[in-house]
Formats: sequence, C-alpha cells, structure tokens
Amino acid sequence: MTERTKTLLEELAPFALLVLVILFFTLLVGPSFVGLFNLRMVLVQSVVVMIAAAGATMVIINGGIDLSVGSLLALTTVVVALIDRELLAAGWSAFPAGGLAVTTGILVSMLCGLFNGLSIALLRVSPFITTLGTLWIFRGIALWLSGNATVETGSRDMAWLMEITPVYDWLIVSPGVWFGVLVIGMTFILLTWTAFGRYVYAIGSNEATARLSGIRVERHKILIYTLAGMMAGIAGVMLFSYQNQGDPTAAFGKELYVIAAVVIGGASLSGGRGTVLGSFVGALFIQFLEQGLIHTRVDDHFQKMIIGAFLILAIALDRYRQSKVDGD
Amino acid sequence: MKNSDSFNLKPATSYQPPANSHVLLSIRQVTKCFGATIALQEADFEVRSGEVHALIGENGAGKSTLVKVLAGVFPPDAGEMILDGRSYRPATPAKAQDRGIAMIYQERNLAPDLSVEANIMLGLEPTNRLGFLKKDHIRQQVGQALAALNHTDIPLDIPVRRLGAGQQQLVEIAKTLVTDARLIVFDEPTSSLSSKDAEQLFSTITRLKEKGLGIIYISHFLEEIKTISDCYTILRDGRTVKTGQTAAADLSSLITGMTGRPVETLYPRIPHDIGPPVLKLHGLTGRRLPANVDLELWRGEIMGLFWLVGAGRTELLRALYGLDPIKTGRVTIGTLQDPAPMPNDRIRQGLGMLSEDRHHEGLAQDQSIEDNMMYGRMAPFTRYGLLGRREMKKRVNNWVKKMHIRVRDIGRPVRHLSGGNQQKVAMARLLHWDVDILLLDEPTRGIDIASKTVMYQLIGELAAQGKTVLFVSSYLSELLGVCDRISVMHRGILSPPMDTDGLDEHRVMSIATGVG
Repeated sequence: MTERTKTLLEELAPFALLVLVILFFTLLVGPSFVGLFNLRMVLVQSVVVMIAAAGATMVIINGGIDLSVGSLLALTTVVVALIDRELLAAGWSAFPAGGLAVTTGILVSMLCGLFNGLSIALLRVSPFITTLGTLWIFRGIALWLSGNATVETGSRDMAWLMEITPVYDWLIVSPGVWFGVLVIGMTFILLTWTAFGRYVYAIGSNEATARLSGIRVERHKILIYTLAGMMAGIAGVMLFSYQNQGDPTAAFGKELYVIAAVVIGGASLSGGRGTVLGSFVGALFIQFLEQGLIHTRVDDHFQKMIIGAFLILAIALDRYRQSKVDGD
Repeated sequence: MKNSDSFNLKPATSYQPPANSHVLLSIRQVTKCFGATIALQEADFEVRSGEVHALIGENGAGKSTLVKVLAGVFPPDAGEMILDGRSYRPATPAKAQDRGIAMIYQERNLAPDLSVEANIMLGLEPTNRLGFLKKDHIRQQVGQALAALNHTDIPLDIPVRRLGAGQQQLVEIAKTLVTDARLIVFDEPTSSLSSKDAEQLFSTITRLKEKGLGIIYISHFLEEIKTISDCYTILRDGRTVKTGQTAAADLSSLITGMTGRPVETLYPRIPHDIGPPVLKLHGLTGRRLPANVDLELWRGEIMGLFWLVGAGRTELLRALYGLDPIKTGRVTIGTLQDPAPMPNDRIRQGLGMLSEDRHHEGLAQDQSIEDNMMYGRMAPFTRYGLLGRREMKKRVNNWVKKMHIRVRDIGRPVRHLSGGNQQKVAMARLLHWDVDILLLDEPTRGIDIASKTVMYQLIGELAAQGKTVLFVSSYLSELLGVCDRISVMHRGILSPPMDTDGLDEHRVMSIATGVG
C-alpha cells in the first residue's frame, strides 16, 4: 500500500476505535446510549481530560511526559475555590470574584508547569522522575492550602460551565465543552501552522538534530511544560465547576487517563509523532468506554482494569508501529 | 560492493581547476592539543571553490579534530583559518554555519518523524510576525534546493524515516543548499550506502562542484577517493604530510603516506593447510531468510562470504549461531548435530561469532575494556567462584599488546576507543573463547587501514593454527585478498563456493547482483 494510504489509516485509527466503542455499547445498552442527554453527559465528562490532554499532547510529542497532571488539577480546584470563597465572603459579587479566582488558579498552574519545565530543561532530571516528584509536591501543596479538607465556596456561580444540559439550548452542549474544543483548536493551530509547533515535533523526533539546526531546545521545553501547566489549569477550572468545590484529593490518577487519551490518539511516547485531534478523539473514546461500562453495570474495579488494559494495548501498538518502521 | 569497478564514474584524470576558481578555505599552521595529546600540529591545506579535496589518514591522525575545528566545535590553539578571504574563527557551530560551512556526518542528522520538507527547512523556516509558517515560501525554497540537486522526485510530505539511506542523505545535502553553504564536509558518507546510492552521491557531489562549492571528502575507501576527488591531503599523527593531485597518485603511495611505512602488501598471506570439513549446513532455512543454504567449511580454511544489501547474511549467521530459530535444515559441527542451539551451546561446541554491530550487540559500550574482553569465559580466572583480577589483567594486557590496541587504561569504558580499537577488543574476546570455528561478520567495517591489516594478519594466523574462519564482508577486494574460497549470498541463497585464486571480480559481482 502507498505511503499516503498508510498514513491515512494510521490517522483514522483512533476515530475508528471511537465509532466501534459507541456502536458496541449502543448494541448492548440500547439507543439511549446515544440519546441527547447521554451524549451531552459524556461530552461534559470528557472536558477535563480533553483539555489536559491538549497540553499533554505537546509534552509527549516533544519527547517528554507529565505525571503531575492529576495533582495539578486538584491544586487548581483548591486555589480557585479558596479565592472565590474569600472574595465572596469579602463582599465581591459573583462575576469578578469568579474571574479573579479562575485567573489566579490558571496562573498558579502555569507556575507549576514552569517549575516542571525548569527542572527538566535546566537540571536535566528526566521528565518521568521530575513529574513523579512534582506529582507529590503539588498534591501536598493542595492538601496544605485546603487544610486537608474540601473547600466549599458556598455558591454555585460557576456551575453553568459544566452543566450537562446547557443553560441556553442553542449552545447544544455546555460551555465547558466549547472551551474544550477551543483549547484543542488553538493547540492544533499552534502545532500545525507555527514554527514553534514544528519545533515541538523536531525536538521530540531528534533532539540532537534540532539543536544542530539552531533550535533553542531548553527554551522550548520550558515553554511547553509551562503551556501544559496552563492547560492543566484550565482543565482544573472546569473540574472545579463540575464538582463545585475545591478538592485536594480529586483527580487522583487522572494523569493516566490523560496519557492514555494521547497514546490512543496516535502519539508515540518516544516523541516526534502524534496529533492533538487524535488526543481529542482518544479522550472521547475513554469517556465513552467508561460510560458504557457504567451503563452495563460493570463494577468500578473492573472498569479500572479494562481502561488500564486499553492503555497497555495502546502502548504495545505504539511499540509495534515503531519496530515496523525502524525495521524497514 | 565497494569495488571501484562497479562505479560508473570515470576516475579523475589530469585535474585542472575550473577557470574562475579561487581559494575558498585556507588552513594555516593550525594546532590543537587536548591535555598532553597533540591532535593537530601545524596543519596546512587549502580548498578551492569547485574542487573536491579528499582528507585521508588513519584513525587518530587528526581528521576529525581538524573537521571539528572547521565546524566551530572548538577553536584551534594556534594557527589561522581564512574563508573567502576573511579571517575565520567560528565561536560556535551555528557561527560556522552562518559563514557557510556545512557538515554531512556518517550518521544521518535528521528528525525521522518530520517530513522531507520540514527537515530541509528545519531552523530556517520563514514565518510571519506572529510566528506562523509561510508554507508557500517554504515549498518554493525546498523545490529549488532539490531541483539544484536534480532530485525533484523525492516526495516532500512523507516522514524522512521512510526514505532509503541514499535519499535521506540527499535531504541533508538539500538542507545545506538552503543554508547557502560555501563548503561542505562529507565525513565517511558512503559507509551505510549501497553502491547505487554511492554513485548517486558522486553525481550529486559533481553537481555541487559545478555550482562552485568547495567539498572536503573524508573516507576510508581509497578507491572512492580516486574516483571522486580532485586533490588530496594526507594527515598522519596530526600533521599534514602530503598534498597532491589525485590523478597522479596511486593507492600504495597513498597508504604509505598514511601509515608512514612502506606497505609490502595490504593483505598478508600466511601459508596454511586445509583439512577435512568441520562444519556442514544442509538446507538451512530461517524464519524469513536464509533460504535453503548448503555450505561446507574445511578445517584451516578462510571462507569468504560476499553479499550486497538485503542478502540475508546476518540472518544466516544468527541462525547458525543460535540467535535466531532454525525453521528447517541441519547444522553439523564435527559429528554433532544440535537442533535448537543457543549461543553458549555453540561456544561449547567450538563455534564463535563476531557481530557486525559493535555499538550495540558486539560490545557493552559502557563497560571497561577489560570486562568486555573477558565476558563469557571467566572460568580460567575463578577459584571457588571468586574472580582472580590480577590474572585477568595480565591476560587482557597480553591481548592488548598482541593486537596493538592503543589504550592507556584497560579499566576505561570501551566507548572511548576508536572504531578500530573497539573492533580489536571484540575480536580479542572472541579469541579468548578459544573456539575452533570463527564467524566474522564485517570485521573490518569502519576501521582504519592499519587496524585492518592487523585483522587480516590475525585471520591468517588463525588459519595457520588450524582454526576455521568464515569471513563475511561486502568489500570484495579484502575477501579476494585474504580468503581461500568465496561464496556469494544473494537474497538468502548461497552460491557454490569458488576458489579465489585468479577469480574474476566481475564474475563475483554478477552473481551478487543476481545477473550471473
């Protein structure tokens, strides 16, 4: 088969998987699985992973990895909740209080991403180990800030972002989902149409070559992790709005869902390949899978096993793809 | 494969510099030391525009140091360089590139997942103020570069890893054109190319010459030097000992210049007797290759196995040595027949192998020279399970002396040695196992002339001791020079062995390419 056909098939694979899983569970569960309410619910529930996966896609294409995403999500919800609560208590009205809380939350997560980037690029600790460490650090900060408890703001001012049935019908889906699509879209533009995006791929594909071509590798790595932090922050805001509280124990293990979405979407953990659209489909796939398992009343433990199995399968497929190409 | 007769290019005859050529690069009295080691000493030479200037010398002669100084990796300690009439002292490789010096290394320097187009323009992309790529502009520049090389047939949008080695190299060369290179340095460019790709490279270099670029060409293959270069400079022990016109030079004078000693013969012939068969292959078939191979090795002989790309010789050796499963067929060593051998079985049965891949399979690069040599047979040095290190060191130093391995400390990791010395370490390990049948897979690939001669001498001595050697190589001249018989591998099928005495090279080539 020609090169183009091969590439086309590779790129369509995650989409095919998504269609298959939807068909599969529709057959098992019935047409309600693809009814409007269920679709809206799945989309809303996929937003957090989807947005975080946009950032993770960049990190992974760049040849790195970020295990601290889950903790960063929780930390963001805590920060947003704390500031919102304090400002509301101080008499601020809902919109400015929410706005400042959200901005601060995203800034904090950006700083955390910057911290990741600096450690990885300048201290030259491997991304795996660094983010394994920050996974604990960020979680610790979240627990400390929240006083080891959930943080209630006493209001539902931001719940409208992530309501399953959108507040205005013409929105079709909730605003959070549109934000997710926006983030995915902007990441797509960044990766496909800018020199910066090309360098993300170049550094992941062959860092030595990138360096010799005059690309400032360290600077790019720092920027990429900071951006990923920012997106984790945006995802965290969505998570806060969904839960309506700041929860330092939230999103435990969520980083694996995020990485699974990216890998199922076609990216390679060794870097240099992948698309954010693939990650978008990957995030949807995981959410439909989870939803389907819930509808078929599969136990929570088995759910986790099944999703974990898919992650391993996706990575095995990635290794297989790599060996086929390298062997030629 | 590296047989000069197979190149269709006429060797350079009397060389006249083109009408308007000028001195592009002038290197004067350049010296570089690393601590106590003098890597370059008052090196002098010139490259003109439109000229291919070969740089030859043994490993350790100073070629790579000279090239690194040129490329801006480090500055010289003394001397000066003049490029295009202006003083040239690049502080970084990026500055060197700005001045128009481009490097093409032995290993490909490309981002394998990026497209051809993206690779050619990597780091040079025109963008608008917001950082968006000007894709039309890019496509135009890439098209121009490839057209200049007469290779507009290369698809632009596929990832570079899907191209063959020769085309990948063209992509790298196209990139140098986009950077407006004035001088391109080729460092061992044909070591992983087929002869067809090598010919293509020579056409490309000729085209680059015609555009007025200067080319520095470094290669171990003296036949190539004769074919492609206009003039040459020989480096020995850090000094430039001779510069001359290639057309006027013959191979043995070049080798003498490189080694500093008269070379009686490149291929020492040591008399040895040939006895009864010690290894027989009947219909050996592996998973994919080899296909139904019959072979008989006689005691004390040196049997050559010649091959071209994709012939399946590595698969044959791996199946024989027990690294890959045998689908059908029999291997008989002496009187023994082992249906499912493993490498350690083979070693016990008296069969050892030298891998062609010394970077990964052949040597443990981060382990010391000492450890690498003694792997697999530490029994002579152990007493009650404990290792007698002093005895081991003595044995290792014996080998170092015997094989002229240039090293100061056998405790250092093997990766610090030159290619030739690494190969000697791998060989010493094989000899340490004291096997009777040796399978050598490309034992002289990528090593300098002096080390090669040491290898040939060794192989001859082994045969004289009654050992049997299977010498696999893609370099026909050395096989014809060293081996008693030769067999040709083509697509997994082995030809009947032929006596090398008076054997016609063309005959061998036609079998190898499937024509004969």
